[in-house]
Amino acid sequence: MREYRICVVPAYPLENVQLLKDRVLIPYVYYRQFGASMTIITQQKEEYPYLASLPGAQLHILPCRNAASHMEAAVNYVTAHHSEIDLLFLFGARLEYMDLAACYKAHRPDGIIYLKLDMNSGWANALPLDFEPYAAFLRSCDIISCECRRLQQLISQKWRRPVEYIPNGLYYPLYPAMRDTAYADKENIILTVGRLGSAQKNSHVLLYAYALSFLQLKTTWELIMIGSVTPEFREIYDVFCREFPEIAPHVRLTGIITDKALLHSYYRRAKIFALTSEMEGGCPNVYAEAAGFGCTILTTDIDCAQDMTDHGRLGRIVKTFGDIPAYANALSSLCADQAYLESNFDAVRKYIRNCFDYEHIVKRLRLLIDCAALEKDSL
Amino acid sequence: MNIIFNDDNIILHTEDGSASCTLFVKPDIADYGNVTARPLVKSYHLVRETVWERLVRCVKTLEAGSLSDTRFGCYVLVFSALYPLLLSDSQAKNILYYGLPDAGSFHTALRDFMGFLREDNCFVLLPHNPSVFSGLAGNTWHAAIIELDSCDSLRTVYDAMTKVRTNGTVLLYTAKAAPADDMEPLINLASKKICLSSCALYVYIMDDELSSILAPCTSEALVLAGTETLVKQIEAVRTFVENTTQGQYDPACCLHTVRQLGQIENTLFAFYDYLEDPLLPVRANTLKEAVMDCQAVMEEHGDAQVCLENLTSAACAFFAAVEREFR
Repeated sequence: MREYRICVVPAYPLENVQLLKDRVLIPYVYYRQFGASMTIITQQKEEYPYLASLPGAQLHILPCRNAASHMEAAVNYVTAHHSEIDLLFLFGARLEYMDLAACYKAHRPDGIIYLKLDMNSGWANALPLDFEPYAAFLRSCDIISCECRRLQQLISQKWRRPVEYIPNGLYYPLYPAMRDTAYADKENIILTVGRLGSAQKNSHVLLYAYALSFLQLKTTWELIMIGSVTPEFREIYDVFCREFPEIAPHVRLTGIITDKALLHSYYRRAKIFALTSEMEGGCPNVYAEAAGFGCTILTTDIDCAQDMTDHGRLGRIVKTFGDIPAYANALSSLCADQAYLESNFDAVRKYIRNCFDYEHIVKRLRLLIDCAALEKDSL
Repeated sequence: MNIIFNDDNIILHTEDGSASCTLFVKPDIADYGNVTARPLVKSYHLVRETVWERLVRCVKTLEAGSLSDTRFGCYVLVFSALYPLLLSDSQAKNILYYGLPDAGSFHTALRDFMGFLREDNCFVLLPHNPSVFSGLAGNTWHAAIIELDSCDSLRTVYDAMTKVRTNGTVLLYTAKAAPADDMEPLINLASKKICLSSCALYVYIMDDELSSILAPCTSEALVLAGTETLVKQIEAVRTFVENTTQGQYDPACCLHTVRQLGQIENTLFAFYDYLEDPLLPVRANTLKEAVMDCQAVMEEHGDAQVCLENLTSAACAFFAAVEREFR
């Protein structure tokens, strides 16, 4: 079995928070199990304190000289260091990667490119597949994966090539509190985590659905919304507080929580994790995190909803986007079904452990990479 | 290239005048000047224009729109080669075109002339996609026009040619000084070659002998040949799955099986236009994933029950789909 030297190139300068997301964690876990080294190359956008959570990972800061863009600098890096890169990991089916992929393949035809798509079906339908340099970029990728089965079917049929299903999951060592979480830790909390108020998140749906279901609930439930807040959503929230002064005290906007232990404590206490997005790139990392802590998922029917709830067995899916009454109905019936929430606690955790554990997933990835290498050797 | 219009013919000259070619000759048939008297033509009684007059007009349209195009010579040579076919009888003609889409005035001129002769003549521009021929019935078209310069592979040309009926005409043209080397065997089969400056036209009349030469090289033949390999690979995968689910898991075979399933996927994508079940390649991928999961669980010494259940279910779905597809 070969040990690969892995190079991770984000399409844009990396943010600290992205270090603990799929774009870095999948190549990182692969490296920990099977790799020789892993280097992330990026122009520096900010400090990277989360790097301390990834022992062994190297971060190479690209120079910003002569106003060279991040990707120009990355191409220069790959040109200079191609002999030290056996596996190039790219994230997102972005046009920005065209030159980089061509450059790497020109120097290292024996090297392997793995492209993780991070894509939704809307994006898949908008790609310029008839633009030859872009089509050549996709052809140059030895392995392409997407995050949801629905998307896998769509892309495979459109692109007429194998597209692997590699979901966004969990690297359990990063969640020390997860193992010991028990249903007894749970409180009547509805939790959401994300960029509140961003266009695709539809956060107002959750806010008003919660208000609609509030009066129907026999016990009190708290709504906790974690994440950055857009000015528009802040305004919506302020109006909401004035409209529903009796409900407002039960709704909390915490802002961004960078302390992972604190964030995990919310997951640990929440019974329901709610998502109202109209679209997501791939599959939100928060899904697996919440499910790993035994939260029951209530979600709109984004591409990965069926996978994350095992087709509705381990959660509830609201089919229509932006439908506040429908979402409120689903929310109130879920809150009222304590027996389901309790039985689902173990079931969802088992499902996540079986299907979304990165340490397991990268074993599949290793086989795919070994096969790609064998195909190259046989040419 | 220069084009000279005479009363009874139209001639193409090279720029330097060193070579020329007679493209069209006014047919010497009775009552030709009064085309409405021709019994074969029924759709334009009120049009007071003879076939020859209309032809001249169409060629002038072509000249006006494409004279500066390097392929202009090719276009008029193709037009010229189709002329006898179009005038041969009153049967409606189906002609397909595969090439660059920007041959605007050529398409306009040819379509106009065909429509003038008979309203239900059919000129079809195919989208530029080598798989497009898989959707067409074989041995049906009166003629096919193929621009060699835009064909990705020789197989595309073979696919196109086999769609033309017996005694039909195939016209291959190139505006390059010479066609690609791999075209050489095909070029040698042409019944007629016309080269003028950098333009070349190769004319084929389809017959049984030519069809039998072309048939083994088509995508359909590739599919049939590939199917034999596919069946063997599928049986090997079936054996692996049966052994694994019966407790005889062999890790050494796992990588081989994953690789075979990858090859099966690629083969199925190569046959994609012929598949009744467009999800068949994805079903192969799901089975591949289940095989990989088993390997991972066995390595981890984890609970094999779930992965074996998944393997069984993915295998059942795939083999049933294969059965439906190839039975």
